[in-house]
Amino acid sequence: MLRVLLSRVRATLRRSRLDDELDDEIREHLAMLEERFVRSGMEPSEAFYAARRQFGGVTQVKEQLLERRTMPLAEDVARDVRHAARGLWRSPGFSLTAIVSLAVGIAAATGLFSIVNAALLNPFPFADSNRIVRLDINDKGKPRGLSVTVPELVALQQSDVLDGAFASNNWQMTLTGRDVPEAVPARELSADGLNVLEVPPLLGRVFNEADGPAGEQPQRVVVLTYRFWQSHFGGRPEAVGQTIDLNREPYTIIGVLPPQYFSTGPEILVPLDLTTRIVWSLQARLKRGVTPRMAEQRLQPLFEQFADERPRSFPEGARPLVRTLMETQRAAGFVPILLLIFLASLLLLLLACANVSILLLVRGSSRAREFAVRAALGAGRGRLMRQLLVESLLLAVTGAALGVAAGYWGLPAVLRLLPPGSVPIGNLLAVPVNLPVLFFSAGLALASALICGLSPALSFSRPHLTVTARAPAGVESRRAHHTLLAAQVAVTVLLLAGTGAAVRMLIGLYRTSLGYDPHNVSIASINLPENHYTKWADRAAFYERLRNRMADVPQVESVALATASGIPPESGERSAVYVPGRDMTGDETPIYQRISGNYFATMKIPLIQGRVWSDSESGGTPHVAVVNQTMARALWPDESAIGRRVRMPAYIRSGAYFRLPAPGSDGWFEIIGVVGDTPNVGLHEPPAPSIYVPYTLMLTDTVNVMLRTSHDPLSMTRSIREAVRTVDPYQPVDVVRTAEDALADAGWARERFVTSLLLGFAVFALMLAVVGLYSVVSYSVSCRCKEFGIRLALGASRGRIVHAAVQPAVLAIVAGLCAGLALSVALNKVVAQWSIGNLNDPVVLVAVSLVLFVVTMMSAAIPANRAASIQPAEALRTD
Amino acid sequence: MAIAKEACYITPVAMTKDRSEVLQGTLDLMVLKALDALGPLHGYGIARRLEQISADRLRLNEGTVYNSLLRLVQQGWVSSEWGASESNRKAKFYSITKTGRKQLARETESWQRISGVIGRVLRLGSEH
Repeated sequence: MLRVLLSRVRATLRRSRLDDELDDEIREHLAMLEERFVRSGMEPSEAFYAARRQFGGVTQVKEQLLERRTMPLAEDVARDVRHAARGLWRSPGFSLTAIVSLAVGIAAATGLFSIVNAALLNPFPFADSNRIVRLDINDKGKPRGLSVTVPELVALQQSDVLDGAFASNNWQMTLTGRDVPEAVPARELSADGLNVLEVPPLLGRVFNEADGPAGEQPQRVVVLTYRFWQSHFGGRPEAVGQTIDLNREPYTIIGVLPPQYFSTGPEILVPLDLTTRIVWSLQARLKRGVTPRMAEQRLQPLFEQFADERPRSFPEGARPLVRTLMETQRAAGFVPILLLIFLASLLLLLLACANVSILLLVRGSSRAREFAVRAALGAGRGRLMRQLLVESLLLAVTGAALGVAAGYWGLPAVLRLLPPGSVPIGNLLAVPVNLPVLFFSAGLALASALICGLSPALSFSRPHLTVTARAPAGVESRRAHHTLLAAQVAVTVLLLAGTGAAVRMLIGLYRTSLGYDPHNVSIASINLPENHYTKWADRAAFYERLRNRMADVPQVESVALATASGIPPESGERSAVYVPGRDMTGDETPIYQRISGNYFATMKIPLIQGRVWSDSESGGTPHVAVVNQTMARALWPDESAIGRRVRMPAYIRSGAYFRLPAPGSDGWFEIIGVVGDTPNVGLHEPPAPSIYVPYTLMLTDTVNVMLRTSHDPLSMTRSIREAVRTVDPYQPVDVVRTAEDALADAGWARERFVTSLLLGFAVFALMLAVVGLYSVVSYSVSCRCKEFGIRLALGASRGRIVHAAVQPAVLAIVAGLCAGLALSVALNKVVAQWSIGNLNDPVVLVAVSLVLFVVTMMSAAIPANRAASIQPAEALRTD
Repeated sequence: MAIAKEACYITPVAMTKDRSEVLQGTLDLMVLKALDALGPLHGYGIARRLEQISADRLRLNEGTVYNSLLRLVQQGWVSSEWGASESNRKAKFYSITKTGRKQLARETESWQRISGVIGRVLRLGSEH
């Protein structure tokens, strides 16, 4: 079959030569036949005819051979394509509008599909990623992290349902030996982890079990991610084999990973130390054919055994919880929103198709005479349909090509808008346009060609010869335009209403009283290297030096420290607070935040009542505390909170080196002030009760430095790092974040993503509606020119003519508007589940209707004006 | 792949009692066999050979031979080459290929089987 096709393709390409050869062959054959007849005694003239009789019809044979040899259908289609291309080239305004409409529609759908594809269909770069699972505990329906001892990990690794298991740990390592010490996000994996994930090295090798066997100190080896290799070694292959200083120990670089692995998160990977007692964050690879549910059943006895040995780590009735990476990802909650936007982009494409359909119909109507003539000359219906479909296919394919290109270039911008961490975009960054995406776009192009070409093809392939040849435009065809227009407007209203709702939501979010001023506020995180400043006094002195040194940096206006707090809505830890003589059970556990006294001044959080502690009293007894308004209201609704005493047991418990309580803590605090509320459990929730205490009471090994600067905080990263280095040359500074970034993470980014995409869609949809209406009205004016001329000549006023010209279109718009509003209200319930705002919002609906109506009417004004300025004498004279 | 069972052009002239139509699809088989038996031939030669074998009992438009040849070339069972004929005319010579021989064997076998069956079916009446 293929062979025949190939030979046909070859023959089509060498057609004229083969034709000549065939002619020669047949001529020779006839000549030989003639000769034979002559030899057998025939007259030459008689032999000529006898030979042709014997051969059969020469032309028929040639035709048959030609048809068999070449591809007549393909040639016909090629002719149609050339014809259509010439036609489209001749009307550039029409073609450009149609192509751009489709291109934007396809670009939006393709771009979002590639994000959806990355997020849902193929989010993980690992081979057979649906067999990679997280192992957790199912505590009566609630997932809980599993931690196991090293022998237990080994037992899991040998389970007959698993092809290996590994533990991991995210932490930071300090990279020194370069100009400034740097905190590098690292992931420790038990040494066969990369083999279980089946991550191949790009260069060198990945570590394996021999690099970190159970019970032994691991080798000092490190595997670099592609990002780290690019940023620190400029992608030079000689990096492999070199050593780098991590936590002041030399580590040998043994390999580099391909770009799609760990493209977010950790930048370097090292073997996990399996001499420790407990490891956590367990992942495993299921054996082929084992489902997560099967694995849960088979791991149950093992878990029971663990629970017997360490009952404290396993709650009563705990069962194994085995979830694929995909399942843990789905829990993230961003998926429905992504799907909604994807749906919106498909809606947009549908609009673009409807619009092109209208354009084609209008264009087809003006070509009705051409079709009638062709039909009269014997063109079959199929032939006419094919030509019309080829035309729309040509538009769609050009649009798709442009759209895919635009999607490719525009994707990084859209990806930047994505809330950080909401979608695993590692694959996407490595291969932005991949095969599934291309298939999808090709499918879209084909579908759009059919959708926008079908109705014109059906209506014009059946020309009523006598009717169309005489009257240029039937009322029937105009009705089709108006129906499509109304449908287009209805969908546009839906899209606009969705956008309006999202915009209102975003505005609401921005307006949410933050209770502080995020402008030019940033946070630098300082993480002490292990076993540094292990005495309370040393650590307190070090932190104090840090603060003073940073305050001296030019352009820094104010510096505050916090050991458990951050930029709202990020907040501290939860801790029970006991108020004497009061039963606190059932109440919400308050959030407590450990800060330096000038935190409120730095963040510009107002003091409502009382005072804030001074530096000198921050460590003394009785301990002092400040509460937020919500806490004051909750505990002492009718009285002042000032002077009350509360107890927090967390302050008596002594900790490891990473938690140093101040000497002499008794856990009692006296409230000396009340400050304004700031969001502390996310931006969408009302603030929880919160209590602020001096950070010096509990010095952890991580301290956050809040800075208010007079300039863009990110431009100061370098000077902040330098300042820290002058205090301790080995102390790295974690990435400096701005308050605006923190707010973006907390929810602004999600709404911003939704809103900006929807807004783009809505503007485009509105433009489509304008183009649709404009072309329908101008077409109708141009073909009713003579009618208007007559009416004007008979004394109709210009106002009446304008009315007649736009009235059907206005009716269509109004009908579409009503349908769209009804649709929005009806769909509100569905959309509400995804919480991007309220489609029912009357303000939004009224605004949307007004905008749509005004904009479309403006677009109808130009052709209406043309109708009004018709000169009756001219109009009647023209054909 | 079976030889295409498309209608061959049947002679519209001189259809007499003792001259049969070419059975559908059998022309390809006959052409293939002729090339197998006689080596490279041009179209005219094939037509003469078919005429000779059938002893004038089979009548066909010689042009259909070219149709059959094209089908066989497209399937890769026959290859062609330009050369000079006996009378020193320019002619295209066709020869059977290796896969063509295999196909011929297959087709011959199936033809014999079918004609055997048909023969038995036709004898049914006369036995009773």
